[in-house]
Amino acid sequence: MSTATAVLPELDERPATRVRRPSIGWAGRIGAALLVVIVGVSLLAPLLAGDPLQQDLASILAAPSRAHPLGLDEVGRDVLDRVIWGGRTALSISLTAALIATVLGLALALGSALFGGWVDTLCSRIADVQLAVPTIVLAIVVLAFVGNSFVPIVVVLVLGSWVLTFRVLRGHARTVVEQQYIEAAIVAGAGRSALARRHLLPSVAPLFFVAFTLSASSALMLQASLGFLGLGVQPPRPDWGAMVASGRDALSAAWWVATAPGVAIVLTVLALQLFGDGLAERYLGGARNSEGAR
Amino acid sequence: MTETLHAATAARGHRPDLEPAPTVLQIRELVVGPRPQGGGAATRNLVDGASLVVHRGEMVGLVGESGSGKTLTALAAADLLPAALQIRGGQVLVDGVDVAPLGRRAARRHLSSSVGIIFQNPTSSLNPRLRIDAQLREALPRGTSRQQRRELTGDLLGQVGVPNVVKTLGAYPHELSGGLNQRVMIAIALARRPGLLIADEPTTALDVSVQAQVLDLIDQLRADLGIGVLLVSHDIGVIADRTSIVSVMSQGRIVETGDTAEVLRSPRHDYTRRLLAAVPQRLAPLRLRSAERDESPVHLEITQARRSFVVRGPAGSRHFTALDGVDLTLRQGQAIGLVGESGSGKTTLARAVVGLERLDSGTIRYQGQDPDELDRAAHRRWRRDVQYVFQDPYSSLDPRLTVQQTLREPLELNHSGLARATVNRRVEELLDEVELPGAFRTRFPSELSGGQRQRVGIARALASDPALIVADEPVSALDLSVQARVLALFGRLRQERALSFLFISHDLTVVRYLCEDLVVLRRGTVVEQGPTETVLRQPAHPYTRSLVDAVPGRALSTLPAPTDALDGVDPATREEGP
Amino acid sequence: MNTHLRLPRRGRFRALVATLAVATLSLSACGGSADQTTSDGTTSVSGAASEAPTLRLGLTRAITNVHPHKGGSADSQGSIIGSIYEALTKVTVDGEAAPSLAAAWEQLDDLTWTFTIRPDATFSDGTPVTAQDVAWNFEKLLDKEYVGTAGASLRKFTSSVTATSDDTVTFSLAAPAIDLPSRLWNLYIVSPAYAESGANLDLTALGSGPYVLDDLDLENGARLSANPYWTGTRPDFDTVDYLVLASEAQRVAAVQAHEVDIVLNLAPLSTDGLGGDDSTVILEQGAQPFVLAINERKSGSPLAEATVRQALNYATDKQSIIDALLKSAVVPLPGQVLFEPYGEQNPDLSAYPYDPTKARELLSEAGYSDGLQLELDVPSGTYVAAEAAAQAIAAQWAEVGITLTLTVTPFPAWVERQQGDDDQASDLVYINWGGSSPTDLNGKLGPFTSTHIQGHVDAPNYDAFYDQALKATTWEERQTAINEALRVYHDEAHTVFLYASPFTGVVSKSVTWEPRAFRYLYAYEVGRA
Repeated sequence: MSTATAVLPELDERPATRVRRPSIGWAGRIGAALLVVIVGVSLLAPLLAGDPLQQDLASILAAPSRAHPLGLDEVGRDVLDRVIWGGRTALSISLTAALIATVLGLALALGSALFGGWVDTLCSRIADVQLAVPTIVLAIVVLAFVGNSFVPIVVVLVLGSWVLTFRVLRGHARTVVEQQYIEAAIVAGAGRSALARRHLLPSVAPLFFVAFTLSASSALMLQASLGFLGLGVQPPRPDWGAMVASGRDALSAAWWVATAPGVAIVLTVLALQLFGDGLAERYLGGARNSEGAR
Repeated sequence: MTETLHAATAARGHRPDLEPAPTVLQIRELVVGPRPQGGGAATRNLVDGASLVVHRGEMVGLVGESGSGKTLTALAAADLLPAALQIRGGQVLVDGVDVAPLGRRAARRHLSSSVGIIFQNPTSSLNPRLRIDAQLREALPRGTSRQQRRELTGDLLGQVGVPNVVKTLGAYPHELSGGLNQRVMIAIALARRPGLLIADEPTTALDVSVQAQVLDLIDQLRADLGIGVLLVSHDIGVIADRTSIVSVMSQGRIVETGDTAEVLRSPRHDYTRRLLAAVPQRLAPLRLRSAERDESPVHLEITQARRSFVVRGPAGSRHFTALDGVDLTLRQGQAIGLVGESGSGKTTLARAVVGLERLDSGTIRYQGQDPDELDRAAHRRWRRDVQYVFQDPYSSLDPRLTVQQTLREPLELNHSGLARATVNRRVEELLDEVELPGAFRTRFPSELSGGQRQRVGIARALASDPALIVADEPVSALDLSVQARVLALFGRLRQERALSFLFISHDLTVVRYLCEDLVVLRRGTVVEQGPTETVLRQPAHPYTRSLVDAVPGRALSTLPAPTDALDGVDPATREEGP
Repeated sequence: MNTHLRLPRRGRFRALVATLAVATLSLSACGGSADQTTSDGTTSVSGAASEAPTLRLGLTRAITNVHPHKGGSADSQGSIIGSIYEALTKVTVDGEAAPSLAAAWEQLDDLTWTFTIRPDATFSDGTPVTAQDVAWNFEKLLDKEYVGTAGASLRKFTSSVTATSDDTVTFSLAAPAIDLPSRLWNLYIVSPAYAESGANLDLTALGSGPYVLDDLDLENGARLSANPYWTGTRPDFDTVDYLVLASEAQRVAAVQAHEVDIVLNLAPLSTDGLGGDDSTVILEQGAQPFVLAINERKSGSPLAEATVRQALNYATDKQSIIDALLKSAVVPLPGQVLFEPYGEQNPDLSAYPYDPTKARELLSEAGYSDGLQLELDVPSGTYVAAEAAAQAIAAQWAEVGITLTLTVTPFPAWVERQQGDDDQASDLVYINWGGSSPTDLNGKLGPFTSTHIQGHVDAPNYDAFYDQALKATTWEERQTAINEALRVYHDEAHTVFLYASPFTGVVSKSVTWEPRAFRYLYAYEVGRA
């Protein structure tokens, strides 16, 4: 057997060079930075903020001052402390929900792509039905009768956001399944689970993270809306949506109570969206190139 | 022999002893390189001082392998370079006019009226949303009246030999065949009566018989209209048959230019020699075990295989019959070449053999058994035994897996329980067997050339220790020299491992090299089969004959057979690393 | 919002727009009201200045029906039904029973009463109201199978109601009821011919009141016009719009935009910016008590012990909540659920003082010196400042070692849980319970009994005195029984006494209205200024 290693420089076949992925862009970087700050502040809440339940009924709705930079709320709690602690509530719920939703969407998408046929049809129909029902309405109905605690809220958020992941990943997984290297893997002896593990999962991974950030942002938005409607976590646990709702009645007298958590919601959603879109730009473009336009 | 060549050349319009016709294209010391991007060091030029001349009524060939810069040279002549590239030096004179000093607008105007260009893939070069009529009208010179346009479009299509002009005018590109679309492209290229036609691999995407027709058309237009043609191709056969002057390009440089016959007969440059040696026509056929062939046990038996598909087209769905009762017997150690044009059903048959496609009816028995009826363990054994090599080395490798991950897959799946070290050793052995350096283990497919990828694909097929390899056009996507080396690899594997081969190809010369038996498929049925040499020499069926006739490179077969047919291939069978 | 990831560039832009839109939305809930003032203010003011043809009254809850025999909250259909139907009696602003459909009545003995129908009483289709019509209505109400639920309490003490002449109905009672006239005020009389014609009484009406129902939209409100056959004092307004303003924000916005003439039930804190040249703010003590209802029957509950319940009362600083959240408009409950001027207060009782030390002592006495875990159910969006008050209470109780977990749920889930069994129900419920008129003993004391459908107390002594009061044959006997009942409830601390409900509202200066603390907003009681 020939083991020569000589290379023939005069022969011209040159391999394609590796495609450099585009960066996540300035907007993505801003989103990432914001996110780091928000997550960091939330994690460090015990160090950064005081007791979010400490009341001072004698000075309710006090205006921002040196001691209370964002003022006091309707039962005399420090708004800044509550906004910081509220970040934990918002992030823990929405990230949990987004994680479950994306994993669920991923599982169904892979199932749809690998099995096709009635499995795919069934999953897609369920997704269509899910899309046809406005999540917020579903949430209100479910929570009004089940009562609002952590688990039902997460379930409702998952119901509302798994379709996003499912649709995106299913489309991608289906194109991957049609690739020739999948057939090559089948010939090499791969069953469905091996295909999923070895080829599909690595291929959808970047999309999965994009879907996760975007799901997290919509879950956070929904979670805040539920809080706003009085269907969020139970008081006195600080929750941005509920804070906006309770501050709304006193807006003319004490604008800070509603504004501070409102700004927090907007910034977090914005951060997740920007970051998610940055990731999408980086990985969807990149994924498409390395997949080849063949 | 020399006289024959000269006569052929003369017929193609160039007579070196007569006064030269006016030049339509003159390229002097052309340098093309990447547009400088902020701060980047001067990168390597992709075309580095190329010069060539095309006279009126002359067909000039530009041959080279992918990456040699031949296409860029042609594009530079038509001012169609990709945005990232620019002309860094030299001159391009079209119809005697240097286009560079003209403004961008004037240059474009000048070029659009004096250069026509056609590309490899006609269907994607046409606008899918416009009818042919509209696309032709667009291409006509400015100031043509409505009335004239109507007449001219018909005339143009007639000129390029479109059979049903009216129907074609009203059609969309996707409703036409590749050959027809290429004719339309040529008509569009000719619409402004250019003096120069640049044809960039005009027939590579077409079937052999269509290929011949399109080349005939270009040749005839050259003779009738007296235009100069720059024919860019990787296929020496095409170049040999069609051009009078050839320039051989390698690494951005033109290494050799001259009278085509002269260059082919006595190539001066080493690269040209290598290129010629790689031409499949010139590879000495492998001949193995022809004697005991008929006594070997039957390895694979296909009986009355039928398969049809529903094709959803713009005009509703229709049935397409891919296999219409095919019988085929492959004996242990035999290599059968399965040839036919696209749509003949050969790929469907190959896929059915490895279980990637189901038959509507008929059976495929592997060692006397239908794989579908095997128990679990036996089915696994069948899965291991029957392996497939894909046509497309690009999409058949997972872009996210390194070479060793790809090779590990069949090892881990089929031989579960192998120790990590054993697996790694097997990977090394496989790479060695397909003549890739061990260091390639950690490369991704995007870091490999086409030939290297195909080697990985072959190594993957070998990983399961197969008994039967089905290879679907495994070399058609590769450059000639690479093709030759991969073929040599296949040949060696046949010798070293007791493999049975089912080798699908549209290229008779490839099959001739590798397989001692030949099966010709047409529209899902076997029209002829038998020993390769016999079938090729005395085709019984008219379809086979037309296939044999259409093979380009007749001019080559008249050359003295090189004694060192595999010289350029065998000692160092590696392609250039990245 | 983001179902497509495929086009990142466009996606990003859309995401930005969506985010901004959401931001606007979440802030607009507050900012919106201000906008409306400027945009709508002018038109409404000019409308009010001219002879406003239509009276606009705000309701605070969606209408569920206009059935004359299904009761009905003051905050929603109760006010409408009372304007289109008449009962035999009505309750004046001062809380006295007054003639309505009955011109006069007479108690013949402990168990027999006669009521004389007003001779000119006429249904809005022109037919006169007869004693037979009235008897038909009561026959229905006394039927256990009947859809009208308002008859439930009537059945407890009434045997039959018969027409003894064309203008007289006679009540035969099963138990004495000396305040019978004031128990009849919300048993409205519908035309039997109309009811039997198959009309859907939930959505249409034919009564003998000063108004007729022209149009009904359960979510948004109702339109009434003057009954042409009405023979009493003609009301000032010929047409009336009842508008459902289901949220605080809607009510505030409607006031600021001059879209209503009267609206009640505003949060005390949001009345700050209201009132002025063209409207008057009502901020008074209301008629019903706020309590934390106690579940004493949960198995193993520490709340079965009176000392623990007393500790809860001592641990609650009612006054600071009143001052902070209710703008000092109300007083702490005087250790009982009845209080002047809206009920027969027991003068010997007084509020549990705020005494955390005492509370802690009582807890350790009961064996809970290490603290206590309790749950409090709060309905969301139902009561003024309920969530804030509940959080304040939780903070106060934490001082004495009680960990109070809040469960804030929407009204339907909240009610359903209370109606479930003892072990499922919460330990405590923040609730505003009480009668719908000053003399309505059943409404005012009934919910606190052990047998009430939403109740989970175990108070047999109270139940007995309450029964005595209902069946009393003299006013003295009745008051004695009430006093005893209230004393038992106080001493055994069967509830956590909080404070009276605030009575709030805004009345346009273009109309006159004598405030009713029970919050019924009858159109015929509103005059033109």
